[in-house]
Amino acid sequence: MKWVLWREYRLNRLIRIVGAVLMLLPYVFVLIGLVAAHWMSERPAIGAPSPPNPVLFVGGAALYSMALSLLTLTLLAGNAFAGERADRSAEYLAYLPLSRLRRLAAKLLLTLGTMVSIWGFNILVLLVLYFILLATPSAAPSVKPDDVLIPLGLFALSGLIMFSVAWLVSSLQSSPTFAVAAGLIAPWLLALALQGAAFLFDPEEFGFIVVIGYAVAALLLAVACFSTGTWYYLRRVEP
Amino acid sequence: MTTTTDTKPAIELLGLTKRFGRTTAVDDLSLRVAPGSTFGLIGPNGAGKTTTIKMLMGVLTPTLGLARALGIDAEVEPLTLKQRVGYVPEAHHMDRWMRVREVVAFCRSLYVSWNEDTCREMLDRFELDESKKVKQLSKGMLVKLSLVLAVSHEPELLVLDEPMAGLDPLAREEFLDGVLRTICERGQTVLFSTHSLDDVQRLADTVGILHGGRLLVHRNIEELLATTKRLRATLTNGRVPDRLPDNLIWQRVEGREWLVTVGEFTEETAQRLRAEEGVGHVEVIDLGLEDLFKDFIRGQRAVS
Repeated sequence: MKWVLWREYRLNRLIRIVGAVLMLLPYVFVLIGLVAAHWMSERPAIGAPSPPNPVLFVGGAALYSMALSLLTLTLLAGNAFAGERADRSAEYLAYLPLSRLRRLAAKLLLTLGTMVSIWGFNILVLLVLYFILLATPSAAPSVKPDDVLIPLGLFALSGLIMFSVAWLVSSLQSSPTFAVAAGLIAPWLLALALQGAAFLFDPEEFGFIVVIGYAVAALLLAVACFSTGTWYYLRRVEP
Repeated sequence: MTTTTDTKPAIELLGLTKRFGRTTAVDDLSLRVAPGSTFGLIGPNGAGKTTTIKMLMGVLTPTLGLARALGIDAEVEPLTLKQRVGYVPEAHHMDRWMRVREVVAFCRSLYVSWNEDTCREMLDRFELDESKKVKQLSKGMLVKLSLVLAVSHEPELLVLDEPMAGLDPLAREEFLDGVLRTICERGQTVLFSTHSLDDVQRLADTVGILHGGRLLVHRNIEELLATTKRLRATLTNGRVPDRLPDNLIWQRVEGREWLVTVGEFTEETAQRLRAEEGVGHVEVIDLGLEDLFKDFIRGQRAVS
């Protein structure tokens, strides 16, 4: 299994590099912003406002970083099976005594490992910021837990949809681009469909229908797409 | 038509059929290959050679029939089969970013048995640089690497699917030498499909000619060459006799010359032809495998 995992790890090197860049990019922007704000605040002639609270900025970067990680997740899922068919390495693997289950387990482990790394890092940042705010209540702006938890929940649900749809489409055909595109579009289509349904059936409960509907539909869609994609990949004989 | 043996066959195809929509790629193919023999499968492009091999290896599901290698049905036990079979494809799709030593290590990790000495010896003999990436290898080197990977786990059956296509004569010679050594040293059963009839004549004990997904002939090469003859007859009245020779494979009339290729030839076949009305001089011509192959295919095309 070690070599199968190694192959999967190495095969997705470019996606992992993109993932790392996307993870760090918001922090780089925040750092540049804070340095610029500090520089301007030391020059009253410019008339710049007082420097912003860095805790808030870094917290925002963590959330952006997690939002961008959904692209990495979709790229990994979309490339999982279709990528091997596109470069025809699936044909080579088909003649080796390597079970589909092992290959699938390696793909899932890699995806899980990547996401745990990115989200783990960002959640750690958020926790550190939370404790900083607790320690310095005077400096704490009025940030409520929901300001962080709601976006996190939305990212998690959207991530589930993006991953599972890309996973399914990847298992069915041989174009990673198509699979990734399907994964990226899926949450938007679902949100649009729910908004349409809310307007049509009960405009007064619009917000409730969209939020609860999105959560329920996302979970159902994720389970259905992931199960179907996995089942199809495992039972398919052709590479 | 089919060579029969009392021992359990290394390869057994029973009524194997594969259809892609309305196209029948392999049509009711039945075949038994004895263990320890070298079987050459030849046929024109699109004859169904690769499709047959894919079904045998379990990477394509037959529409009908059964394919067993070493007594294992690939549909039932694909991993067991792949542990015991070595495969060299025509096109090599191993990961291009891997280095040779990484490909070897990756494959080594997948097989229960792996003979490191064999692997080292073949890598050295083929002068394969282990630090090179797969994408840096020439086609000849890729084929050699494929052969190293296919035989290092000491398979009981070696399947070569047109591996020498596009190779220069030197690379071809080195590859064939490698295959010959493997056959001689290990006594494995070998199935290879090819367009090169020279290679078949050099390597194979038995040959099968496939056309339109159907097996036209399957015999020992020497027997086939000894019993298949071309007869050149002069037609005194310019007309082909009503009664054609038995086991007719192909015929052509050009003016007063009549060329007939027949199977199961005996001296009696020639005598019977000479006795026909309107047939003058009859000459018996020995055929090489290439002419024989062409006549089988032309005969089938004429029929269809």
